[in-house]
Amino acid sequence: MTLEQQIAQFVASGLVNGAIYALLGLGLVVIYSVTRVVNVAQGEFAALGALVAASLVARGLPYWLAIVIAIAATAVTGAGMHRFAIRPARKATALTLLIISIAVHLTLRGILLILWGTDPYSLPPFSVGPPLRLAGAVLNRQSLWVIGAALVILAGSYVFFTRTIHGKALRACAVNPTAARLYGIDVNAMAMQAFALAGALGGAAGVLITPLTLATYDMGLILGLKGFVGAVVVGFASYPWTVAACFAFGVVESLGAGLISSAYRDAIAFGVLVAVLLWRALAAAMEGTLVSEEQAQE
Amino acid sequence: MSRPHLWKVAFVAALAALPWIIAGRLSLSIFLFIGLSSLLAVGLSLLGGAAGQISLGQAAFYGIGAYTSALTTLRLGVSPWIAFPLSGAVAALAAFLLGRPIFMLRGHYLVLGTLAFNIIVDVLIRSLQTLTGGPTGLTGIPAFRVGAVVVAGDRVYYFATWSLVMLALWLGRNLIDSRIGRALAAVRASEVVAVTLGINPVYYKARLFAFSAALAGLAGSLYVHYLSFVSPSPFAFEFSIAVLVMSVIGGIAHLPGAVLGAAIVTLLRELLRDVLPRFFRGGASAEYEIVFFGLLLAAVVVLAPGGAWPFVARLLGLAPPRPSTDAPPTIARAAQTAVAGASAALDHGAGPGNHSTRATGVPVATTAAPAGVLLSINGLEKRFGGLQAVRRLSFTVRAGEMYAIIGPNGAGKTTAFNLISGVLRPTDGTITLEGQRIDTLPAFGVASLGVARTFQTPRVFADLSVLENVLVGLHRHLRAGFVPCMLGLAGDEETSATHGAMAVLRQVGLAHRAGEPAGALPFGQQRQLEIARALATRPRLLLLDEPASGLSATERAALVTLIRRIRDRGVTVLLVEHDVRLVMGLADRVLVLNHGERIAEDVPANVQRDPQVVGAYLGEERT
Amino acid sequence: MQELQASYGPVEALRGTSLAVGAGEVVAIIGANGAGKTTLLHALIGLLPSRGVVTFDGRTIAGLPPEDLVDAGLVLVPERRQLFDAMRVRDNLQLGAYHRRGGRIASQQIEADIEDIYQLFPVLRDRDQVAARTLSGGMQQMLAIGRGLMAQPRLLLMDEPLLGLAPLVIREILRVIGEFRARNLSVLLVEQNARAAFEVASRTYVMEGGRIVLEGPSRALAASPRVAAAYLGGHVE
Repeated sequence: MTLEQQIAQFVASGLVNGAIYALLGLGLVVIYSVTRVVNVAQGEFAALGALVAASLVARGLPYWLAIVIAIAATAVTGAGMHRFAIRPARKATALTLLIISIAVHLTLRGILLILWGTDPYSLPPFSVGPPLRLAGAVLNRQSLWVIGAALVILAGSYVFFTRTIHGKALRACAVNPTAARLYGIDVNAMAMQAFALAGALGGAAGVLITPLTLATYDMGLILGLKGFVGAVVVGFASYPWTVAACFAFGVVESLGAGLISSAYRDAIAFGVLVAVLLWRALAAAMEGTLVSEEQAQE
Repeated sequence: MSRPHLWKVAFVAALAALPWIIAGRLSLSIFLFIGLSSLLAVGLSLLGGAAGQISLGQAAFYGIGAYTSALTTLRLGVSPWIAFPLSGAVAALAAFLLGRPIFMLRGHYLVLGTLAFNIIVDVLIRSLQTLTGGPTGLTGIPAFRVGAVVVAGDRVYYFATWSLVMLALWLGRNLIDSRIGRALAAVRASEVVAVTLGINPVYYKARLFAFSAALAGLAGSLYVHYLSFVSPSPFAFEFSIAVLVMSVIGGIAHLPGAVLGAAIVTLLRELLRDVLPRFFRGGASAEYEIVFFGLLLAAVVVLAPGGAWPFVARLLGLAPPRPSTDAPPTIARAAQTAVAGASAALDHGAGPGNHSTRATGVPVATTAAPAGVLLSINGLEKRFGGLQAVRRLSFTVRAGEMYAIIGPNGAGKTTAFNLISGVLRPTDGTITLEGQRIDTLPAFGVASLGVARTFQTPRVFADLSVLENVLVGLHRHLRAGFVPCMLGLAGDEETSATHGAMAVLRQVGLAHRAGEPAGALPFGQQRQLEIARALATRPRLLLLDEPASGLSATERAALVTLIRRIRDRGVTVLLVEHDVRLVMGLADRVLVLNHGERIAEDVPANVQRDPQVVGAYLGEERT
Repeated sequence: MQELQASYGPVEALRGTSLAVGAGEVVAIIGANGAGKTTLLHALIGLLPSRGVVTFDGRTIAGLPPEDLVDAGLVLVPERRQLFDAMRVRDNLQLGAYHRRGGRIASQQIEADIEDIYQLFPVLRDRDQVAARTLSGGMQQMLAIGRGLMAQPRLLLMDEPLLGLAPLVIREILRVIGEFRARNLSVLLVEQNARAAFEVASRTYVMEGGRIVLEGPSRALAASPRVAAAYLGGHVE
């Protein structure tokens, strides 16, 4: 394989991973913007979706039905997390919310372990057929499904947030919760929906990736953490930019792992995260202000 | 001997006697590991309680300390006696480099950053096999030697570890009770306000983080020399999470809780290791621990968010524990010094802008008040998106003068204050203080040059006492650094600081309420407290933002007297006010703003007659 | 007949205030900073806890949260606008009508209402797709009022809408408020700008220290020397 072909290959697989990170990253940012919670359990939604789908398929359910149920399950789990873990604590400090988030992560992981054990589970590819050749890279069909499905979901989310009143109301809660209440928007209900949406996005990510790499009960943390990278780059603000950053990160990770060493894949990925944090800190230092403008206007 | 003391002695005695009590029945090593885990948990609790930050990297620093010690002794032949402190230092340095930038970001990036860091360290240790021995690790780590005698065995390490734990608890407690602990309490209460008092939050958080990492690093070194073996597995991020669980179970706001949590978690872990394999297929049982700890963490957060330590303390009949989230106990000291009398504190003291180390007194006029320009604003602009809050603003304030800014609501007065005090950055223009540009400085930098301010609604630290609020104001004039504070050596400075703070309180007439929580004060007195706190910073320039608003007539009169007295001591006062009559009686010169622009600047009498000003205030004329 | 009657017990900064607004009336509350005007509005709209009797259109509403009050026709245009600043002008208007959503007919009606707002404030029409935070102060205020109108209020509470605005813009907004009477829309206007308040309101209350200290027809108060003194020289004793 020539170097160009190799690079094309890495970029391609990077886009596949990036698609997964984008789904997770979007979920993270939606939750954060509406509730200010850093959702350490985001990856668990992916794991849950994957495992539920795998079990249902193994029991003979039609594939599409298994996927639908799996995503519904993760959406419900997300809503449940808000209802039972976050909402009761909404007056708590950010620190406590963070600890709660970590506790939920551990609990979910534990539940996954009890129900599915340590074995890896698989899902069949969405369609069968020979791999395709695109711009020098070889992509198997599932990879295309991942990218395609993710793009469809992300496009759908975009339409939801910018064209529907419901999506706009959700954004309004993120932008100005007090004003949202003044105009009849139930901020608590919106927060729960944000969690449900993030759950569904996570579940979809899990289902998409499993035909390519097997699903295990503990796949969540690393995946979720990688979803964070894109969110951190953009500072948990703009949804579209987070998605873009996640795709970019997927490619960077893939190139790094491919060109440098695959053993260091995770180190490189998280090295990027640390580097991004340091870069943002530098930008903040240059800017000079330690407090946000809103605080200053109080 | 008091109850708490009795219990402390009993605890230490039990610890000391433990090796003999359990000899032959239980292995001492588990208690040794509880000790090592305690070191990590104490560091984490200190960071979480005092700085309000969570680190998921303690295991990484544990590992960094461990491998530093292992590699330097094994490969470089360095003596373990040197490798031990070196491990702490290397871990501290790594933490400082990582943490200092991250703390500059708002939000909980430390969790992500430390978790990522932990994973990176783990991968590196496993992959750099020639250096670290990879997953199989390194054996034959040299032991400590005293002369020809090899220091080895459970007991020695047990005592060494627990001595270190006791030391860490003592250092941590001292730090929380020191001026640094107080500054951190102020930052937690309101970072904006703390910053305008000259406190740099990043400075303290970064060093606290380094200290917590140092503890972990030292623990790592002990661990490695005890086992004379090192491998990557104890330093994976799962252990960082376990340390968090320990801290939370014990109570993150209580340092002894960290030890309690470490004991609970470690003992439970051992129990699970015996019990679980009977229920689950072998090998997987280690994984099931995670389930258990997740549920335990969730249960604690829901049922007992303060952790187990408050319950234990109650059980033992100890006084309700003072959480590290509270400010230091200056109340007792205040009672003493109040009795110690008025003293000459009011008469001596530093002049404005004089940063002497004697923390007594309030600014006093030097014989010749310096003439000339103190503050110079040039072409100042500030936009918020589409809103132009301040437009082409230029004015100068002379040293020692009383300068007022008036104007209708929304005219940009508070924005101007925020720009001067460094809380906001101008979009354009410059601000200079005695020739030095301050618009590029962060707020704590501006404060350290002698600029103090109050806020439109009084922002006192409600949970701190009145005296403590003023002491925070004095913070930047105190000198005790991290190490003296941790060693509890700052006592003299604290006493003289308390004298000085009481003197300031007497100035504003609040001395009789020194020990009360600031939040309990009525509105008017909170205002006075805010001014006292600002005075304690010994400013050259005092910015008062609508000090009279919400005050009754008598309170206003008292305020005017106070402001006059402040000015008489040589402090330049810049005043924003709505109460035009009050301003006219006080100010030397008045600046009138409307729509963020200057529309008049003159002596009060002329401004009052200016038709533009009258129009701006009462609203535009009818058609 | 629409009537808002409120008598409050102690609410932090409010002490036993009573006032009334009739259908189609524009009533103003003026007073210096810290007098409690904003606190009163926040208590009315349910953002702050309070004690007392508030009836709106015959219904008791004290203690209801803002989400419920919007449905009843009580809408607040908050101090400093509180727009959804990252979102577009049109989005802000649509969100004002959030509680009316549902079904095609409602959507069409909402779109028609947005057109109405643009008729009222033509400058906003050109900025339909622009982010609210990039608008100038005057336009932001117009948008905030427009958003309030989109909620189809019976009584519009306005908190210092003229804050920091240029004279021309103030004139424009006062004109718009004056037209509300024709729509049978009642307004409770809180303002620091006394002259403007007198111009547009038929009755005025003066607040100080959390209490109402003066009330009466605007014309009478405008001529009162006590009010003038209150503004240029301290406070009303």
